[in-house]
Amino acid sequence: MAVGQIVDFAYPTEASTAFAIRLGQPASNGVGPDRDIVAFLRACPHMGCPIVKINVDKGVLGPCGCHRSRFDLTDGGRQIVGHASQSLVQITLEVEDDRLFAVGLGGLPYGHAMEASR
Amino acid sequence: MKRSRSLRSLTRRGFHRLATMVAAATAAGCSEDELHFLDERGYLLPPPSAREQTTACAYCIVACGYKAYTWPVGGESGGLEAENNAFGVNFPVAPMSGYGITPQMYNIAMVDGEPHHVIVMPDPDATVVNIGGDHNLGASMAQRFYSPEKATSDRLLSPKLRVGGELVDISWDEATEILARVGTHVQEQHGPAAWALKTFSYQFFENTYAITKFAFDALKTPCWAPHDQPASGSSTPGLSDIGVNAFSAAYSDWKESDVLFVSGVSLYEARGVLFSQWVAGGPTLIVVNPRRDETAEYALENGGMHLQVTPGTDALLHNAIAFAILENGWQDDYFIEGQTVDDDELAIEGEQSARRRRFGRTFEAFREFILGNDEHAPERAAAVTGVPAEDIRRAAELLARPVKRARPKASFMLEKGNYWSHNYANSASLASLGVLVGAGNRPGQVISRGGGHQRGMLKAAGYPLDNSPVEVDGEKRPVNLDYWLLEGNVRLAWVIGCTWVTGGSAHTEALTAQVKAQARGSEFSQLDEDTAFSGGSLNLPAVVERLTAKIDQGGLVFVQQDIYPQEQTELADLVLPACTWGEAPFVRMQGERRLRHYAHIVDAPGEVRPDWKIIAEVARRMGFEGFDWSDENEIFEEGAARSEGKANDYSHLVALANETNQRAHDLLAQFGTTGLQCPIQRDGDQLSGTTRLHEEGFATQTGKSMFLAVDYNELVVSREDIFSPVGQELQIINRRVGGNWSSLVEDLRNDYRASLLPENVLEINPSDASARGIEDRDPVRVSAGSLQHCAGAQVDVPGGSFEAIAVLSDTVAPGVACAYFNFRGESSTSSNAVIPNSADPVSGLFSFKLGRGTVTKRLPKKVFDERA
Repeated sequence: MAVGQIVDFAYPTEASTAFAIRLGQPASNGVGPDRDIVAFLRACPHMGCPIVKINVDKGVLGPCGCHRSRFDLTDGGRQIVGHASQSLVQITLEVEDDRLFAVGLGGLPYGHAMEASR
Repeated sequence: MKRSRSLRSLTRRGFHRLATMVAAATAAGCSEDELHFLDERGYLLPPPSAREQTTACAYCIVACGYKAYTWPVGGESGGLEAENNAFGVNFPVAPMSGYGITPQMYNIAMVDGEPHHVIVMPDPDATVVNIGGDHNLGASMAQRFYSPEKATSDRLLSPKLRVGGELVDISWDEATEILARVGTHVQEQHGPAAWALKTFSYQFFENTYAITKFAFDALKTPCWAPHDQPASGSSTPGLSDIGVNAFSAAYSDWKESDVLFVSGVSLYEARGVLFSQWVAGGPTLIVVNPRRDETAEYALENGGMHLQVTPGTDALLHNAIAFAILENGWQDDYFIEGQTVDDDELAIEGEQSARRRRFGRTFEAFREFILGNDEHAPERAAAVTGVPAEDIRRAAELLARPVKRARPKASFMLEKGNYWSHNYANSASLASLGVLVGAGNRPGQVISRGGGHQRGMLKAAGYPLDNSPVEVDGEKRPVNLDYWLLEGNVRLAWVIGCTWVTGGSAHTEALTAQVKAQARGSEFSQLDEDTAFSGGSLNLPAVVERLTAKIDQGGLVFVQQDIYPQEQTELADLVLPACTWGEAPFVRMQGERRLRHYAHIVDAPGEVRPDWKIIAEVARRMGFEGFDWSDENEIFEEGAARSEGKANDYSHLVALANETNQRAHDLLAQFGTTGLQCPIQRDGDQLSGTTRLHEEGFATQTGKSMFLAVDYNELVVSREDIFSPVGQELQIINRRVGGNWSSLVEDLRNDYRASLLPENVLEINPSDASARGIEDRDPVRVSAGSLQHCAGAQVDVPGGSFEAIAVLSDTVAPGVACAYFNFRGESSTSSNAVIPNSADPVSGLFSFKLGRGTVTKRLPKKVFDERA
């Protein structure tokens, strides 16, 4: 991936929008030779609105179109300003043979709950 | 393991991994490790059988409606299908559904002595305040509940007494008896003015009623001050003087206004739902703030204005806008004619109030005052306020210029950035500007505070002004508790739920030093182990004798009543553990006077007690009558009589409850998160609220409002030597941060919230940073000079300093730097350390937003990024 390049994909379900980005600076949980490739869900953890805007230079996602929250992509999706009560959900990446694999989530996607044993 | 599929084709893999772990963890009878996983990464849904209660947010003034669900650990939890969970909805849910639960909303706590799952979530069915379940800081309230396994484990759980320099556990019987005997000694030997009661003013009606009954009715001491002021009195005296209650507006008024003047309010950051539900998408904003905050950014993006005022010059800005309005004849003549005083009415108002006598004006006199002073001309004011003249004129136009013969509906919201600067000058000049354009008591045309903490004050008696030893110009004034302490007058300080001397007031290093000297000083008697214990038991008479000896020697007994230990605890002789939100049933109002019942959700941990109960026990032991309450409801019902005729009047609620054999708490709880807006009205057996105040007349003798003439030179310029930076100093202002609350008591015990603000941050303009050799994220120290710094203050004290991390930012202008206020409530990090201790000459309150100090780089360099 080139620095600044954004790759959109669906994860963990076909309906869940996610993106991977090469930030050009080391990032928390970053992969690749420069540990600067990260991936996140686009759903705002506040109320689930998809966040479209990305400031590549600053490594910031947002502001969210619903409530203006912004998240630091270099710092595990930590909220910089906003109304969310958790960080942006980061996707765990692994690299193998120059290919990126999404292998897990750092938290529950917005709106999902856990199924209890019944 | 070899992977052969593309990134896209693996989309479900991680999700299933998580789901598998979750399924393992959610089996009945979870292990501790599994429960820990739930807590950190996920949550369970409540089953249909879960207990549902209503409450409201514990934090900001907005007090969003919340619901709490509890169900036993080991029992059946809810399912994803609507029929299998308490909400009756299918999961996953869509965005903005109101059911977007996050791990912060989930915890495990004790209920009736057994571990229970707990979810505290915004009420998705809310039709007021946070409609549809919008939320902000309150989404993490479940994490407040005590857990021996988590960061809340350092909760104060039992009473403690300092013996031999260490705090040791004692019983409630011993603790309350010690305090009662010491208190009686102080009352009899040193008098009521030897007390210092520094207490929260917001933590529910039941507790504040007990506090004020004890202070004002029993002790009759004038030495009480709320947590955020050095003395008793209105935070916004200018509003009081024009007859406007600081919370007179309804939230719908903000939405209905065409233009909203926002003065010194962190609206987006600190009152998020008020912004998102009641301001965003509504009025055009005129934001007055020395810092270009998120609300200012919004205003600029949406046709509004940001007036980046020089700190402390607001009053001149208000007068200049008034000048531009009057010059163009844009004032609201109809409103002024019908609802403001004439000369005769002003004379009546002056008879009742020295301030109205001094500052009150009719419209004609006010017009003459404004237009007759060239300093009010926008071109002149621009040089002082830093706001360009064209911006002052445009603000006047937005606020008042009729369009097609229709006046814009203008409203005014103010908060601490306004009234914690020059308190009287700012609030009075803003109030007059509002009246000039017809704001104050009409839909979409109001003047009110944005609000800080919730409105939990219910006074059992009036402040005993006659007992105050303080007089100014022949008039009694409330005791400034900080000065009273610094002058060595206090013998027994009882601090309830605030960080008074370490971070919560101005010039905190001096306050801390004073308490250290008087309470812990080696020249005074201190309690040692041999004296305190006899035969393995506490020797109560000997303990009391030693403590009263310290008092008689000129020392001080310091009592801290709180939920967590803090820096102040290290100064305390006696520590009393209190319970808090969710651990007992309480009542209070929020920012549009909406009264709600806050449910008792979980067990209070350890031996903690509600504040009212601790106070009542001490009062009884001191021989005072009227403290025999059995529960919170009994206090709430008793207090109704004291609310009559006031903005928090709930007497009709209690009357109806009594007539129908209900507990008033239970009747209010039936109104859920909607509650009732005070003053509560009654028609037969129907209760209703009051949308906005003053529609039938302003809170003055005549029912008319008035103008206040604020002479900027007299009230502000005369104090410049105290507050204006000199030499290399910068003006140090302070702010709140969204997602964090106040002195960070709970934030420090919540990993997520702590990560948002791991250290105090000082925003500094790049030009100022460069001139001081400071780079982005350098650790810095902000230092106020010593006596010179406080020249002109009523009490000379040394200066102070605090530490922070520098963030280079053009959100503040050159010459101004902005820190988080009262960071951690600690003397080394609270920006209040550099606030001069000069009280407002009219109101007696401090200028917490007008610090000044030199900024220097700290060594060795510490890497800010290491926080992760």
